[in-house]
Amino acid sequence: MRQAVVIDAVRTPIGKAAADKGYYRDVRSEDLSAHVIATLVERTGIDPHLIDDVRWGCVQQQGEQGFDVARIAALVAGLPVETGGVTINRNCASSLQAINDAAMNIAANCEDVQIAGGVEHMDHVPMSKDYNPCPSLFRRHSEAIMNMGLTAEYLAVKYRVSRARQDAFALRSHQLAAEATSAHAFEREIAPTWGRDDSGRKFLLTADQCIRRDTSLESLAALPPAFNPAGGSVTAGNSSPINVAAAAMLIMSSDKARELGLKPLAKVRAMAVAGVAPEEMGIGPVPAVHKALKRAGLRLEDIACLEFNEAFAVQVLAVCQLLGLDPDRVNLRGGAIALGHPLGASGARIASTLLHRMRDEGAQYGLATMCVGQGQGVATVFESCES
Amino acid sequence: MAGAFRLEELDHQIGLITFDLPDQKVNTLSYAVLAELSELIDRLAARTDLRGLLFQSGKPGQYIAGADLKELGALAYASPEQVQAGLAGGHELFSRISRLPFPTVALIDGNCLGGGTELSLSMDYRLASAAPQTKIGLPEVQVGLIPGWGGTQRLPRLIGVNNAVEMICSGESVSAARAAALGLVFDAVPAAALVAEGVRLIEHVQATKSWPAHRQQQTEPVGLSGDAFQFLFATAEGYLRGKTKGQYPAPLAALRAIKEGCNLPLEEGLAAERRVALDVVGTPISANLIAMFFMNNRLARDPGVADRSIVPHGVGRVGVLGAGQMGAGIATAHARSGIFTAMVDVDNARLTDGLKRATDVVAGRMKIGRATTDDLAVMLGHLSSSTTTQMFGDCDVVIEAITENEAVKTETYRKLAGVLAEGAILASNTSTISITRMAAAAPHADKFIGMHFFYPVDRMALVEVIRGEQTSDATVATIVALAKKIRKTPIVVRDCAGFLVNRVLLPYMNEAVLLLLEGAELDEIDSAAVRFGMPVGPLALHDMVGLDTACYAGRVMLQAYADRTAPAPLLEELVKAGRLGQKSGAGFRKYSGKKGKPEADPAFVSILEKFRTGHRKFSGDELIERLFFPMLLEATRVIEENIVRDPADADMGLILGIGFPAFRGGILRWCDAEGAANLLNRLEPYAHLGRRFEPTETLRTHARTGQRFYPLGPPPPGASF
Repeated sequence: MRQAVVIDAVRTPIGKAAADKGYYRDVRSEDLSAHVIATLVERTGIDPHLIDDVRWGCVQQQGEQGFDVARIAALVAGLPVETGGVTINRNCASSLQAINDAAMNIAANCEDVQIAGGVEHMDHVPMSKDYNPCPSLFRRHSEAIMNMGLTAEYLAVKYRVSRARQDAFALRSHQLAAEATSAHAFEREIAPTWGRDDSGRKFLLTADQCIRRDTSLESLAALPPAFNPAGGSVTAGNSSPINVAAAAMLIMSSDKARELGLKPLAKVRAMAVAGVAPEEMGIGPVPAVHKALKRAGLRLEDIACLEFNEAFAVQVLAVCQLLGLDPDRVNLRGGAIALGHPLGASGARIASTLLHRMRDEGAQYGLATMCVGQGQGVATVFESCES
Repeated sequence: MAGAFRLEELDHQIGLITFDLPDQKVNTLSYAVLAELSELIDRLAARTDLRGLLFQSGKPGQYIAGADLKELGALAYASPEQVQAGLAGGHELFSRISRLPFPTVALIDGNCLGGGTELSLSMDYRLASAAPQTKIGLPEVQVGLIPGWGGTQRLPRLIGVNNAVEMICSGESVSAARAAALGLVFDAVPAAALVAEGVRLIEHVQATKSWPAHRQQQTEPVGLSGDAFQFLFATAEGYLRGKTKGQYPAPLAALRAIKEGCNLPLEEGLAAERRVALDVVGTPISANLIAMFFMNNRLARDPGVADRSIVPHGVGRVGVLGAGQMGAGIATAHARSGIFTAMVDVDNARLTDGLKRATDVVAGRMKIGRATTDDLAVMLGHLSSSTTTQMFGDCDVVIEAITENEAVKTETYRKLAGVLAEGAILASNTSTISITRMAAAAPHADKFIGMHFFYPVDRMALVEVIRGEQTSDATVATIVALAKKIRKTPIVVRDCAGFLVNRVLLPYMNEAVLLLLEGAELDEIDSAAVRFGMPVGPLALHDMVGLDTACYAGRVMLQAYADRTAPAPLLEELVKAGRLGQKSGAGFRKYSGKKGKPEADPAFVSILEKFRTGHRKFSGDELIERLFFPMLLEATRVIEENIVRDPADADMGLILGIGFPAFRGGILRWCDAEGAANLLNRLEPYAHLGRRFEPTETLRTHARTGQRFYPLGPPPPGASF
């Protein structure tokens, strides 16, 4: 069986999805996608003619993200016409799924050299655009399952996660992200990208837009509940923001990497998907992590680097609680609450951060996992190639 | 001439050229200006101390309007060698700019057209002001030329072949925002920030040392692959062939220049551009289109009266009487332009219909992206409606657009006498009835005038402004200014039956019916006219305007010009049979199919047979001569009778009013091109058809003396792009 390895991983700085102040207010999804693809090709020196396929996660596949944005981005990036492109949707885990699919293709002796990643422009193509759910879905479920914030509130109640713990976790995310940025920890994963600063001037951007260096427990505590005004605990401060970004990694078989003389960051050791009740979609990582670890023959204690997507503070805290995990062990460079959660790009983003962390920290194992709207979890276990 | 360019040095060794043509409203690139620029570039090429160069216009909101069109027009009289030398000179200068030993940035604020765009393309980067007046384009094909100073080669290398083809072959300009999206400019920024942003850009490309590679890339082949190349040019060519119908060669020539040059190194591409440019420079079609440009310019500046001291009255509120097709269209045109408009008709049902028509106009434009909800709000916010003419009490101008019936109209004017404000102008949208005669019924004859709009009002730019014998200069000037304010092109015409447009159009339409009776096929007649360049054939046009309307107008013409108007009883019969054209489902053709498309109709043939006078076959050339000679002769009579003040007014009136082919420059320009003596000979065989084919005095004089409607020679000064 061929073994998938990741050669390199890059991403754009993550911008705010805002028509007035967002980094990418006038940069399109296809161009952001093409930029990270082209950067990856340039950085790794891979002959683009060797790339079989582009697997691209994207949730809102319409407008500028419609018509198979993977293929369009590949063409914009100047990849050869022989390279394919497929857009993948597993909601927030779309690009983690793209990575897993690439690994499966390699294992199954199908496509070999692939670029996996994703994009989401939540300003140009908002999450709620053309929202039109199926009435039959609500015979067994409340329509509130479509509102991620309310499913987060449900976790807070069900798993007894206080507002104070949520706010403290959010503060930690911002502090760690700020520290990591100041220490240039993201330098290897961020591809400088053209966008605009607050005043509207065009800049080559190198840092994420949503990190709040000035936030505090007091200011977080002052925020009103965002989804349940009467007694809720989930606020704009302890949730992930609305974002724009693209992220990509170059994946191929270990044989191919050896043949090309490319040094992998890590190999894909195991992966899993699991479903949970849509009402508590945030808990999805718990069964997914169990499944993936079992497939890898590893225990959670064996994993040095953990990247959990922070859709909501309460969601990560509840997952840690059920996994018996100290939340301080996850997301040592901050998480989506501070960095941002550009849906279709988030899986590749957390995996990128994970792989760069593993290299920097000399870790043998790393785990990336995320919850998925309407109740799923996806997890991927990476293993360093150094050992 | 000296001092069009000023060079100064900003901090950090960054140069700034300011282009400011003395005593001119706009900057143009004449030979003299280019010579001065050439010297300046020579000096700059030796400046190894500079780290970058910015280029701006010294006229806020006016960047560079392009090459001097007067000089371009004069190329019609230049030899191919002279043209070639002119183009090569431009290429050589712009190539020197593109090789300056430091990064260069064009700062574009306002119109950037033709040669101005090509000059900017020769620089490394461009920044545009994010202002509505900033338009960047290569409009050369609109005057029958192609961009000849590198535009067809540098633009595809910068923004890609498809996008360049779209801009160059349409000649349409783009906004600053669109230019930024296309990568034509690095960014669109506030006008006040242009210099600072230019400096910042130079600092960036110097710090990253990225500018030499960027510059190198612009000189390389675009590198389209075989399929991408073949497919792109095949589809573009097919589209342009359909659009230009073999009558406008420039867009296809531009495409050929791009095709032949884009996959070569820039220098070879520029040579391809020079080769192709020779095919279009100085051609009659280009001369006609350039002439049209000048005619348009003249009309835009024409106050409508000879006395330049006349000041038009301000018009704040307009009343429109009649909410039918024309009335609603006229009211909408005013309201859309932000003029408060009161639309009045006899009952609410008609007003409801009228308001729906008004909304449909803007909604239709929204569908094609030409209007926004804001435009709809502006229009509706400026349009009121009522069943009482009391609404007209505070209107500066009231436009009557009721049924085309003199008695009804004059009766209405008498009733309005007590309603209209002191000093208010009453204008009639009549298409045929004498303004001088109806003035007697108007409250004030000096403030009564014709304001003839064309259908559909939202798409037809022409407004015939008809001055009656007693109409005052101030009234004419006010209506001319008002028509311009609602973005129409007014042409002032003296009162006569049919005014300008219908007077010249109807002989042609009538002739088509006569040809039909003599045995010519319906489709043959229409396609001969279309081949000549008309948008639709004369019989199709009958069906479009309505046979009842055509019949009525025909009667007016018969009465006024009985000596040269042949009665066409077929038309009367068709109207009697209820065949009114498209609106009734059948006229010369039937329109009963699912999509209302015209089809041959056997029922029509049986009516036709009753009136048939012959069964002759006609050649295409004969059909064209039969159709257009009566039109031409009538146009010469219009000039003889001073119905318009300038031959260009007649030509523009026909181009705008009936879609006379622009590439022929108008019917009088066609007359000049064919030659009066030649036309006299060709008219002879038709002498037996009567006075409508009898050469007029003007034509005979022109044939005898070689005089022309438009004297030979370069066009007048003062325009450019």
